[in-house]
Amino acid sequence: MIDVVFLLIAFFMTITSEITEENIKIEVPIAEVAQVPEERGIRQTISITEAGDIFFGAQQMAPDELVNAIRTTIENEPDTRVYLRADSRTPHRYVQDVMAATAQAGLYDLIFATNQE
Amino acid sequence: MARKRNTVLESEDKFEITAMIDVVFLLLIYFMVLPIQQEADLGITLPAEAPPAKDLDLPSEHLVEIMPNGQVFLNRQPMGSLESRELPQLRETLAKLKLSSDRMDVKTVVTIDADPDSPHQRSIDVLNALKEADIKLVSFTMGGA
Repeated sequence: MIDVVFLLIAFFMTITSEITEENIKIEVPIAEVAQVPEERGIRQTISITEAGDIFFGAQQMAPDELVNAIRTTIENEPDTRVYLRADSRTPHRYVQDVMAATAQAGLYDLIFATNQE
Repeated sequence: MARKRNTVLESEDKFEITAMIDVVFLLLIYFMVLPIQQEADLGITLPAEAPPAKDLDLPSEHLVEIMPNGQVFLNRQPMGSLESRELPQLRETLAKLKLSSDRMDVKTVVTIDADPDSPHQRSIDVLNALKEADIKLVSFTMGGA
């Protein structure tokens, strides 16, 4: 019975990690030359869904709120880079909004999330 | 004394395999749920609002446009087809341009003007081609249309 309990714990642990920021339903674009990083460094994930909803980490946000959120982040961690996870079908205007917001906040280092194949 | 030794032997005989199977199952489930594919990075550095450079060597500038339907233009010349995700023509032309500007010791700068309605995949395709052509100075146009 203890084994079953452990199994359930492991199951729910993995499920909850599924719901966090890395797993907002997004199909990232494909880029053959992209590299899986050995050192991920300090990153702030910003996700954009196909419909254009923007998530700062796991929190949904409007583009104008994004500037302040990024500013606060880089004040705390100056080496932060933005990890932009946009769906491959997201219209470019939403990506543009986020890029504009990051540049406005004073952060110029952008990483696009991609899959290699 | 002899009795005691006997019980020890007995317990060794009853090695429980059930618990081990459970652990193995647990590991199996864990690795099944783990994401199989890791996301990769394609990084760019956006041009900062820096003071103009002292050297007056003008970089060789090129414009890549992305239409709403995904058609890619390099300096107004259509590149590649709509169907293929790879842009060999763009990559080759850029590599040649980069080579010639490298010989003249001039930087190659590429500006991407993507239509607001163009899919994000197309921008990534272009960035992919730029990375293959080893072009590092990339900027996106803002606000247009």
